[in-house]
Amino acid sequence: MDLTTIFQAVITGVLMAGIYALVAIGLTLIFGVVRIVNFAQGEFVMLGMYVTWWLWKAGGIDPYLSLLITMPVLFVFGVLVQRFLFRPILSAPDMAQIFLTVGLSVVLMNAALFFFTADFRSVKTTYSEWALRVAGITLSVPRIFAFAGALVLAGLLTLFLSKTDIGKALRAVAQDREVSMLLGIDPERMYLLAVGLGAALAGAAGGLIVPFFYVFPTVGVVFVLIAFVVVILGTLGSIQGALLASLIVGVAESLGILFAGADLGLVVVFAILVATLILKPSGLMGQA
Amino acid sequence: MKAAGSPEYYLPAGILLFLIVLPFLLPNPFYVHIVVMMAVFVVLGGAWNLIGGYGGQLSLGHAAFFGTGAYVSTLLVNAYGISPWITMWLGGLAALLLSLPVGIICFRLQGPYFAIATIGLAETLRLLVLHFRDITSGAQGLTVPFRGDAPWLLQFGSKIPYYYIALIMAVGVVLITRRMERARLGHYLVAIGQNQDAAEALGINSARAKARALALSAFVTGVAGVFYAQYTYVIHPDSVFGLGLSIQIALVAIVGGVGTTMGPVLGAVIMEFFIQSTQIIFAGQYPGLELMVYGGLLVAVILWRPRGVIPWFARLYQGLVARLPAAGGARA
Amino acid sequence: MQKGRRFRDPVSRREFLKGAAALGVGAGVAGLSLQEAAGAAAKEVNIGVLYPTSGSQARFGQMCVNAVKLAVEEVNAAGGIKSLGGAKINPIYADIQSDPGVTRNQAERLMATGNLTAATGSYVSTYTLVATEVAERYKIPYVTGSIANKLTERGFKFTFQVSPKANMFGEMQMEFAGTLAGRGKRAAVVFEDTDYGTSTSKGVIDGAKKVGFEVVMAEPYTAKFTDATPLVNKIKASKPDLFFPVSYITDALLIIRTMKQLNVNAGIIAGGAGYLIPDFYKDLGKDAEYVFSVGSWNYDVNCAEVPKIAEAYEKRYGEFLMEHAGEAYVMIWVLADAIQRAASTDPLKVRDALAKTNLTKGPGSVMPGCRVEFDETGWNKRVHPVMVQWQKGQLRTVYPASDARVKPVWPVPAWDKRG
Repeated sequence: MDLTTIFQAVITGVLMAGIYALVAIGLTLIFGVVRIVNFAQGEFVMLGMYVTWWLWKAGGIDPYLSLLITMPVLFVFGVLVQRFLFRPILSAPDMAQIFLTVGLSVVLMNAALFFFTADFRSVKTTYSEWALRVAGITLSVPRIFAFAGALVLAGLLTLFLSKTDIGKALRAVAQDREVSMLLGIDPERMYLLAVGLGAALAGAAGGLIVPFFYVFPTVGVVFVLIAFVVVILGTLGSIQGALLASLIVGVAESLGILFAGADLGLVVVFAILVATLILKPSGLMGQA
Repeated sequence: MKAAGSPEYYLPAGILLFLIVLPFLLPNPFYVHIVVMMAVFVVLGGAWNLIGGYGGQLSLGHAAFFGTGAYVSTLLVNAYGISPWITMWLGGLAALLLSLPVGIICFRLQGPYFAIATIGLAETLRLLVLHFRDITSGAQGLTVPFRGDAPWLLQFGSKIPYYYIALIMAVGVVLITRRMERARLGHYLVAIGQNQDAAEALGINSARAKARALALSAFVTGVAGVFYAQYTYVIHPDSVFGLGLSIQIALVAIVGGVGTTMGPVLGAVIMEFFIQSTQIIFAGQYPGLELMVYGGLLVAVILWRPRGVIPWFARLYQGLVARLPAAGGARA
Repeated sequence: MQKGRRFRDPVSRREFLKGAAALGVGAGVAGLSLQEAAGAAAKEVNIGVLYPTSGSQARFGQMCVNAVKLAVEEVNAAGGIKSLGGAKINPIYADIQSDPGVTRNQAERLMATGNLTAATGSYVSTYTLVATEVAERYKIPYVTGSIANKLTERGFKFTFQVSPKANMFGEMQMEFAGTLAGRGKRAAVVFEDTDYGTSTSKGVIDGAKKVGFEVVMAEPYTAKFTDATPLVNKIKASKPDLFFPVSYITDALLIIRTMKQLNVNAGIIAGGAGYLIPDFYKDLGKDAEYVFSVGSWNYDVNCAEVPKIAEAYEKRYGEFLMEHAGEAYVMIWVLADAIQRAASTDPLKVRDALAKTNLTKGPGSVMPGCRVEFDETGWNKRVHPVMVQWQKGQLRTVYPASDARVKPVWPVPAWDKRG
């Protein structure tokens, strides 16, 4: 096997990490603050993709430009989900919360099928097929944009959480709900904000993925399982952890396909997850 | 002292009698099929409940045990012609053996870490079964050859014998649960489920207690997998190792009420009712509508009773018992 | 003992039976009794139609159901089943949700309660294997276009397969590849890891040796990927002259897009499904040009009635009639013919009539070969797969000679030499 092939696999893995990180950041934010493992996160991304597609189809709006609409729309959607679905069961056992989101994902997936049909949609942009060729390695330009988008969003979110008052309040609620209440923070509002932001990030993921992927009702399934592995590997609630873990997962999957077999890429990923958890039971960023 | 004619006795006896004659009351085999599936999920939800409910370990990988049972048995039946009545135990044993490393790997993990790790293990197994298709026949799946009425091969022309086998298994799981609840293991698990550190401070070996519960749970799940393979004739990696099945198994216990004997029973009945009624009412007319309504019902029932339906149902039942006349009194 | 009592549930026995009472709710499902069964007077012939119209295979399943709807309307508009006094075909649809477990349940439901004369479906072989097991036990004839060899090699009496078998696809691909002038010898085969991919690719790999190809890569892959680059990168490294992918939809699209990006110029001879549906050209446009594929049907099959059928479907649904939907259409007419000859709604009589099917004309005959006749196993022995190629936005049959409508474009221009 020549070196170019191996380099190509590594670089491709890095770019795949961008997609995984995009989906995982929203997931880890919602868990970090509200403590709900959202099995419907993939369907949130799916909604973001449909909104982006529809804006392009009906209004001719470029997918990247439409982030300005997609993200607020998904934010409102997330707020509604928190207000009417998550809030009533916040004090219920974890299991009830998880399965509520499972039910929500079934509803969203099939609502999409019912209203938008099973057709495979795609957005055609001038840059959809742009590619960079460097030393025999090919890089898809929209995938580079998605990767950059993931970094930018993660950076902005980290800044928001560490520099702004609202962000600090969010972190306070995430760390200790009771203490934050003593500080005069309203946790209910912070929860609305967190789920809203988590959904908006899913919307952004949708918008950044659409230029090179397809929109269909079950598309969330493609992303969500890997996103779970990423957030667990990188420690739930940690944004830096999610970024690091998505790089590991992306490169491992890509190299796994090259060396172990195209049907075993995920097996390699799961093996890494299990091995890591044996050594560090709460992920890379957790205490050993 | 209560007379034998008290509703507390005759109501349960009546229900048991009803279950025994039930298949003869149902208008056609499809309804027998529904109650068989209910019973299978009573077994699966009940088995899951041993570790997931009492032990508080949210497993989302129970399909691994189910699929192992189904595959080990069917491979043995097809290759060596061994009776499923024997391979049933071997399938359960294989699932039990699988549970040992799973326990070692996963029991140090807490909450969502445990849940996602179990998903990972089950998915790995599914992908490996697909990969090693020389042994497992991969995606083609395995078929139990059609032999008509062959009781020794666990095949029957009618659904009624399947119903009684499933009913016995379901009752068996309820009895096992009750027994465990009263035994030391049950107490340990409940203590661990509530607060693992406190339980360990009291000298409970939490890893061992959980491993035992998981082994028992895996064994029962594996046996149920064998029954399912015999009943449904065809098994595939996706249908018996899939995440969807793992979720369905846990769901049954969670909707009914975890950590209770009768929770999974009630949960299995409710979930199967949701599935069947949406399929019957919408009958494939509008793609997506059936599952949309099913998902909506699931969300609604969890919002309504996040701790399971069982406490609500228990009150209903108590009310009924209180209101019913004694059998002797009714004559007067 | 002390401790034991603390945990004891005082109502546990009652709890046991109370759950049992809940089981009675199961009987309550019977209350939702099916309307379908009631409407089964002599005026109607009930046909179960089981396709996955939700879940991962929804796109394919819906196209099949569309074709079935068209065929049923045509049969009924042409006077229904004349030997039954013009009885209408009454299709009873069930969505099997792309799930073998649901397939079992729905097959069970329709066959036990639907008063069926026959049934048809279910696109994916995996689902059809489940449904036909149920059909065999209920003794209801099941007509399918699924391709697994196993379907009609189990000794079943009630399964009828109008389509070519899985192994024939790969053999046809290789036979065709052998006719391409100036081709290289290196063949790469990749296939998605469900039954469809593994069974059809086997024929490719086995056939390769006969025609003198060297198989430089043969690998299954998991279709739910977000990026085909790792796979295509590996294919590129194997330096193939001809490339044989078996894929569903998104994987098919991503593989072709990525081949262009990585400038992999092997001739593409695909394995059907995702390469043969409207979405393929809609998305790839001119990049779809020159892609070859094997298929069990095409809308230019060389039979007299096909253009009219293809036109009616396209007019109604705004897209062309694809491979498997075409078979779904044909199967309704095959059933109508058998019921007509049986002059009965009795499944056993219809089964016997099906076994004697010998259609040489009419819309029930329009499989490749223009003839439907079942052998003793229930397989349509007159059928063979065809090779098609995307040419100017149309799927055209290019091989074998008896079916070809146009000549194959070969050699295929390299990606960077296309206009």
